[in-house]
Amino acid sequence: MINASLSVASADVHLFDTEFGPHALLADASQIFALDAQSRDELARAAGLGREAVRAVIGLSRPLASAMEAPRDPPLRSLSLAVAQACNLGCSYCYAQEGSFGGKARDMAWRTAEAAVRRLFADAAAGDRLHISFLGGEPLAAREVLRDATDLAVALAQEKGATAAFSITTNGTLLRPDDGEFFERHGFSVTVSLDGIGAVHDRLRPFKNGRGSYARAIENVLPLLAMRRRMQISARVTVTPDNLDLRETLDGFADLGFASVGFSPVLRSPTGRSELSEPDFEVLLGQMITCGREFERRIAQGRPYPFANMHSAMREIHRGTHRPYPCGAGAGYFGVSAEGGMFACHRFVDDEAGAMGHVETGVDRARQRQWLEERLVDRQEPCRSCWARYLCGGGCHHEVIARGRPACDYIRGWLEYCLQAYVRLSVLRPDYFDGRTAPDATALS
Amino acid sequence: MHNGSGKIFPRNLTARAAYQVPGNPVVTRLEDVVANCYPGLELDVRNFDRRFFPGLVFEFVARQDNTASYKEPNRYGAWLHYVDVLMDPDVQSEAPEVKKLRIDLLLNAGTLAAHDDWYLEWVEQKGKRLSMRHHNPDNPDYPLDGLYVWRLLRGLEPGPLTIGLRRREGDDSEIVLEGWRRNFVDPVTGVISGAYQPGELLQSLCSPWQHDFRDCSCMYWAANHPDVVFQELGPDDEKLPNGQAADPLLANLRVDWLRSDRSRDATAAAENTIAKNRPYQFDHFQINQEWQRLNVVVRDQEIDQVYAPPPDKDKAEPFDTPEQLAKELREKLGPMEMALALEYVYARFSLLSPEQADHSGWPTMRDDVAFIRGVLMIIASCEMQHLRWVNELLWILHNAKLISSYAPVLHPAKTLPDGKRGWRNAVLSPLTPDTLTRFIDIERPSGVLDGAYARVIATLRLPIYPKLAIELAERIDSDGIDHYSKFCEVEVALKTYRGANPALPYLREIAVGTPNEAKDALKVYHEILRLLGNGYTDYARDQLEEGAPFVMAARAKMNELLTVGEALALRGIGIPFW
Repeated sequence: MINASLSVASADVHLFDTEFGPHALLADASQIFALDAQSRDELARAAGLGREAVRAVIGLSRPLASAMEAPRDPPLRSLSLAVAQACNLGCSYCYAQEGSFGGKARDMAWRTAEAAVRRLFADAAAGDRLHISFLGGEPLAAREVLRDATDLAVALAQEKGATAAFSITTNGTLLRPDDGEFFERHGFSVTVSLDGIGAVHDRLRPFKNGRGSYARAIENVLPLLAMRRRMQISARVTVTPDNLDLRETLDGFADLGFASVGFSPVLRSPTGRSELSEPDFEVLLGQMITCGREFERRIAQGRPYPFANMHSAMREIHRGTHRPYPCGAGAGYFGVSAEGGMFACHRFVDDEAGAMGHVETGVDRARQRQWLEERLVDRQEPCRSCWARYLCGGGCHHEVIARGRPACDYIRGWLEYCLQAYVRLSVLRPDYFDGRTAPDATALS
Repeated sequence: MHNGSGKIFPRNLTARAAYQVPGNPVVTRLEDVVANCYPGLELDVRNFDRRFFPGLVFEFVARQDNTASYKEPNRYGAWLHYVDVLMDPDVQSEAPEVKKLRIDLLLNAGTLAAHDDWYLEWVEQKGKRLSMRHHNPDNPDYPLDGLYVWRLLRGLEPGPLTIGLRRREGDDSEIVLEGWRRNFVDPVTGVISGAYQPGELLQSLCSPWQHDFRDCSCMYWAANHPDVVFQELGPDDEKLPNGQAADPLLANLRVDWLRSDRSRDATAAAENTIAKNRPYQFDHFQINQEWQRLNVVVRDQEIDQVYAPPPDKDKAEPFDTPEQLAKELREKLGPMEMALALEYVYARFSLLSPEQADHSGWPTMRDDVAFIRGVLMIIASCEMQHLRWVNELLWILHNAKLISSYAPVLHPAKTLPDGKRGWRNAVLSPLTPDTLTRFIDIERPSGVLDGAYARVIATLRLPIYPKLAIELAERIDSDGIDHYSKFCEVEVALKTYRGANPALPYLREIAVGTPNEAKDALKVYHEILRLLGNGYTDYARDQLEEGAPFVMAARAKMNELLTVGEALALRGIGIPFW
């Protein structure tokens, strides 16, 4: 008998145990198979013998792929516009360094925004879905540009027979009711950065004068929650060593009526402050699993729970999502700086390491090809020998380039839990994966 | 491709897409067969022989049945349907004999396709030739019926085979092909030959399937062939929260599911045997045409429209910990089941025996009391079974190390829900109308009892609990509905005696006796509790063999209690269970 957890380390096969028997994740195409003890042992042996042996044991209709390939000249699908490279808050961990990205605070000129939107739609075909996100700084500091760019995108989409989708990430302090109406009209995904309930948030996200911003943000967001129909509103919690009580935060925002609450840990900040350390990751993993357990409990009862990380993990594992990159940065997605520079993503704005062209001239394809080749998860160490590489994608490019990969154990721990939870839910509530059980929850509204 | 011998199940979507299911389609497995009067008919074996010769596909043309007249002999036999030389995997290899057959088939394909009256004339194997004609000494030989031809071909062995094809209506030309009888399945793996297209082996099964569906006894059809059902309610019929008819007569009118007259007005109760119902059911050919009129049945009720499930019980809030769940089972639900069982048993003793009822002067009373005593006994046994399941749930929790200890729960509750969100004392009383109302109130669907189990079920759905536990709890939960309708039936039966003088003529004069008066019965009762306690304790330790004799002995004692209790009741003494 081979214990799953003691089996040979393999980059292709990851064995894990669940209440419903042993299972295997194949890195290729993120396929999950339930096994019995005998096939588990056979697979553990085959994992040491190579991909053909694995294929034979499971009975796959095609060979296992050895690596994923870089896409060539992928079409432009998504832009984020740093409409305001300035912010009214002074968060210590902000990658954008209070909105300015380390430079001078400034807003995007309309001419630049217009060029960006036109660039996005330049090669759009009928049926394409193109996406614009408004980021900053605090994008609502440049409300007029934001709205004009949205209207232009809607007009261009109509002209091309394409669909335009919009999102915004905001600190909530400048939100007005008429913003809500505008977002509702255009079906925005509104992400509000909220780091905790009350004082916890205030400590992490103060105004520049040092006062807390929680009361203002919540006061502005609640009316939007009440009016949402087409728009989606989610809370995004940036996790630092100072707000590690995730369950309390999640339940607090659920009580306020958020249908989606996501957590993202700070691996790297420009000042080094608020970065999570190794012991913090252990606490974080425990907290994530606590929230995940509650998510499982609720879903088992057919009730929604707004834990966005878990919901998207379940959806992706079910679909067998396998990605050669952690995100679309530098592929179909670029961040546009106030001056119109195109960068690998919103975090690379004004960073030469991620420079990818300009909205006036388009994507620098040579630079992009080089980026996509270099950033491929199968080219990364230690990713190429990690079973979780296609679920993880190799970690945020921006953080990896700046700090390396300090969180691999945390990510693997979380994915291991998610795989087990997936098996449990797929046995107990298969309807959840058909979308028949309220997943996130518009059902809350 | 599948070398492993263990079981593998593709879980997520990419796994399902990439997984090559080994072996034959699931529909060919014994456990998946449709089951019928003649088990084994999971496919129509004649379909194998349609491709008995590689590269050719035949149809067996036969009379409707054996007794039909032989009026179109030229149509009967193995008619060549088409030449399948390009797709048939058996004629693709470069082995000399395969290549020769492939070339022969290709050379003759045009000729064979040009006319549609090519039939199999003869087959020859190991030097023996079989003609597909019946020898007729005085007249020309005439073609055999397709089913006879098929039987002859069934007798062929895999291996070299020569066949002759001849036209029936054109010139007398003959084509001879040398080949082999196909291996229908792989001799090593048993996998069906790839020549057969999906669905091909099952084609033509529909009619026998439908006839069997009508004819066969229900044990083959346990899941999908109900005998009797409750018919669908009309829009004006008042309904209970669980969807059943509020009118107890309608709620208890079981109709034959296969009835051929589907009109609502003509609905009569089903007879009590299959034979008596037969004349009113769909006949064989009717069911071929009208099987779609058979209704879907959910929870014994026919559904003709889109099914709307009753309100979701899943909304119940689970208990926070296994200990809280165990407390509910131990202190509330178990004792409640036991108190109910004893109330029902006591009420049963309060009714006249059928023999006594014979002398009552009421013509139907004998049947009525027999029926009501039967109902009370059945429901009391059910509650006892629930008590056993409550104990079983507790020992499952204990064995799964979710709770720290297990002790048998074998005491009756002192109070019971009154069905009106309040509580009443558990009482031993004769089956007066008030008592019956109490029974109806507590068993009312979506009322107290199933409400009580809803939280248990919500808790047991959580992943930490063993799967067996939820199945048990759901069984208890789904039982209550029937009890309710049974008690309503009792109420209807007793309507006859309303206003009788003296009142309640079906009851005995009975009162709760003193422990001394009922000491024999109480001795048996306490023995039952002792035996069950020992049995459950052993079961909980997984000592099934040790526990079983105790439980068996308890059951024997329960029968004894009925006899002793009946004797006491005849003397007007009720057993003081508490």
